[in-house]
Amino acid sequence: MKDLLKQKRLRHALILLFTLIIFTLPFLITNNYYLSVLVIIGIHTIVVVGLCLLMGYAGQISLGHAAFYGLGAYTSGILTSTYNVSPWLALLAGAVGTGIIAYLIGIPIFRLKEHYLALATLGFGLIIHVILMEEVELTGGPSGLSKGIPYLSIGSLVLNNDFKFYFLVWILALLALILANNVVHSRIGRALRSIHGSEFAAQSLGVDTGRHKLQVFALSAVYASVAGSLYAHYITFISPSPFGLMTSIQFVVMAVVGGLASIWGPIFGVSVITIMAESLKEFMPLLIPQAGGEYEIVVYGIILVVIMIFMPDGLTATLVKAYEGWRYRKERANETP
Amino acid sequence: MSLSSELLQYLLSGLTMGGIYALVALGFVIIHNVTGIINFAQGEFVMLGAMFMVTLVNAGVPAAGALVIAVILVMIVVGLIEFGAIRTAKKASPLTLVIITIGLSTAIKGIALLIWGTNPYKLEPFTKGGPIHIGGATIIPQSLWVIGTTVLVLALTFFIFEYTYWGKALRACVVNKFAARLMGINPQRMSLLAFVFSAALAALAGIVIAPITYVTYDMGLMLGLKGFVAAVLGGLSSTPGAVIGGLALGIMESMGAGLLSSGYKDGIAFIILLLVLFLKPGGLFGTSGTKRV
Amino acid sequence: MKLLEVTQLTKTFGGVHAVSDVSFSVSKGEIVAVIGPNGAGKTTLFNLMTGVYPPTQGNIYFNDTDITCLPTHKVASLGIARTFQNLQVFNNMTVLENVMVGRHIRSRTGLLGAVFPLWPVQVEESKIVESSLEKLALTGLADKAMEQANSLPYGQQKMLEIARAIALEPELLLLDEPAAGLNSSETRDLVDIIYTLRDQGITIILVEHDMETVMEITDRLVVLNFGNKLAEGTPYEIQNNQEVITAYLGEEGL
Repeated sequence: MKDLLKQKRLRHALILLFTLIIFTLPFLITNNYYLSVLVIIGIHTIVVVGLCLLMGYAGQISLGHAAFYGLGAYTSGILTSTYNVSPWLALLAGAVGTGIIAYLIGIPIFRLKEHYLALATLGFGLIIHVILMEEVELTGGPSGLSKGIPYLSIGSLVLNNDFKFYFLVWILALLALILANNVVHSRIGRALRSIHGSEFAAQSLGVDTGRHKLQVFALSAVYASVAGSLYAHYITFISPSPFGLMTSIQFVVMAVVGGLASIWGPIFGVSVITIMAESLKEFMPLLIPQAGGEYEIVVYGIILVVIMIFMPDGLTATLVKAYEGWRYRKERANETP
Repeated sequence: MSLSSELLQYLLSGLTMGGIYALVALGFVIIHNVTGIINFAQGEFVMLGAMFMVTLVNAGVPAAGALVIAVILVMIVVGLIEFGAIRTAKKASPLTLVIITIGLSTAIKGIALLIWGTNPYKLEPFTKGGPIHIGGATIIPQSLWVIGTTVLVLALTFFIFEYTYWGKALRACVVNKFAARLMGINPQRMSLLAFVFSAALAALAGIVIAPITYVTYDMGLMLGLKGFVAAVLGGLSSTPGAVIGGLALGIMESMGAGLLSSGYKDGIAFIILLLVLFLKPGGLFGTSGTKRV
Repeated sequence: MKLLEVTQLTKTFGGVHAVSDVSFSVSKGEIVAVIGPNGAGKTTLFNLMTGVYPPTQGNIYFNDTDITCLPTHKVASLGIARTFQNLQVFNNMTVLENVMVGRHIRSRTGLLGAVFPLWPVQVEESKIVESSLEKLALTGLADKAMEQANSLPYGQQKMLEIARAIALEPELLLLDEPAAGLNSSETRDLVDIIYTLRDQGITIILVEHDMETVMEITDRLVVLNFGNKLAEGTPYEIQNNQEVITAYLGEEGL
């Protein structure tokens, strides 16, 4: 019991420390470009936290998360710009709607084995992308929503620059992390982890494995939708291109690089990949001048393969293990005079 | 054009694409049954076949020779991939293996982009000549090539499965992997064989379709996915099912695009997929998907 | 009163009769053993009773409810818990968490509660911890609660499976070779635990090879041989059954 409390306290202390760092950063960084990268990292973190719940705890992969992200963005964009709905209400509507859609398409898919989910979600993502391109009256088609999407505001405070938006995004990202952490340490989270340990034994204890996987799938879609809404209000213009398959794969890469079994994985994975992608944009054209806009995908592909083969637990877990090994060796060295 | 000749037209173009889907689906089924892996990179093998073919033909190699070399090149590339990536990770969980093949697919596509760029390439049809008229509908000669190749390759596949040692061993793995192992068939070698064989099927599909669709670095994704949909329609573990699934998908897609809306052509396959998963999880032609004990 | 009734149960795997036309019943509060040589169909019988696979023929009734084709998790929620011949401990969790999963059907927190653990959820959570620790104390694992489950020695992992199963508060507990691999003092502890559980009103069916233990603790035995029921009766009757002696006990030299 005591140990349990100690463990919990340590977890809370870590989260507190991280929160402090996050909220002092924007006062230290004056460069708007760096700030905007951090905002994007925050938005992506929300998606990837949800995806990690799905992949790490329900053992399922989704290649359609960009679609849920897009559903959130477009619900917010269309409702606020065309129908003048309040942005917060639109965000909520997007989240609830996306959650329901995910639940409904999850029902058939979760009756089947894991790779079906990967392909069915991929197919779903493509359908959504086709709809975004084709329903020109509703979505503006390939050229995007023509009417401007308003900024988010809290009371009379309009979040119209990177600095102000940063705080909103990171408050929500931390909230997303804390809520995901709650799930992991709840009855549902234990049930999901038990499926990983032994699906056979989990069922013999009354765990309805399919049902809980489905719930987490819907929850992760809600996360993606909220992030999409934030994106729409941050950029204030949306078109279908950022919600395609490449983005879905990018989310999976981020989740895998960070590692699935730790709540810190997503922040780490998103940061590494986003910063890498941004630097690639700077340096790649210098190395290979003729390379087009999508050269990053080679790097994503290779990273994915290498990490999965050599560090299937992700970068975070591998680094922690390496550190522990180093500390152990150091202690041993100190003991023997 | 009357409705019946319009329908005939959709049927013919559906059969053309359906033949391609069938070849890709067959590759999915073979790899899945032998190794348990859903190979996301299958569509990229199609693209590689078409790209090698175009490059060779443009370099002045005669079409027939280029075809053989292109297929062999794809088989070598895929063999190396199986050896380097799939085998190294053989103990990984199914989720990990799925992610690895996604990574491979992305990497292959990216490398193709770096080598060949984003421009579409054109391959001359195998034979010259205008469209052929059949009962009010028209068909281009290359479509006949596609259908003919599909029939020939399928016949050859069934011949190999039926009459050669390696074919029989492969088929044994497809039917019952465990029993095949007990009979002394080396599963590692079979995995390599399955990948290389599927690669050949995919490469051929890419080569015959190239004159109809143009060749781009990202053509593999859609073809691969639709091949998978076809395989699922056929139950994912049956080889005749894959063929029927492929043809059925091609026809449904062509009818749907013609009668409803062509903008949604690519969506149709996935709506069919979701419907099948929902209504008949074992596939249209497979047995029910009960859990294995 | 009959708690469990199995009628003419048959299971074939590709033509092989793993269980063939087996009928028996178990009354509330009994300790019944299913014995038989290896491959007699004992574990298959357990798997059929817990819905791992459906029988080819026959029916299973629990509390007069037909549970024949129910999925495993539904069977569990009706109050049948089990342990496994090959350990199925959740290696990725602590000892305590393993037992807490056993409380799954006795708690209610849904996804919304999991995301926002307000006061009632926390109350439920501490109740789960409390009763899980109770079960750990019963099986002698109280001081191991925070350890990783796979760090326990084999014997304690077997106890952990029992703790996890009884956390479900089952009416019927199925133990698949609970004494296998235990040393003699651990076996003594196991016998004590089984008696305690019986005194708490749990009906127990066990598959076991350790004949000394079986004869000591059971009220009744069902003997299987090649999937068929060979005999049924008290330990005394079984020990004196000529058929059983020739088919099975004879080899053991009892």
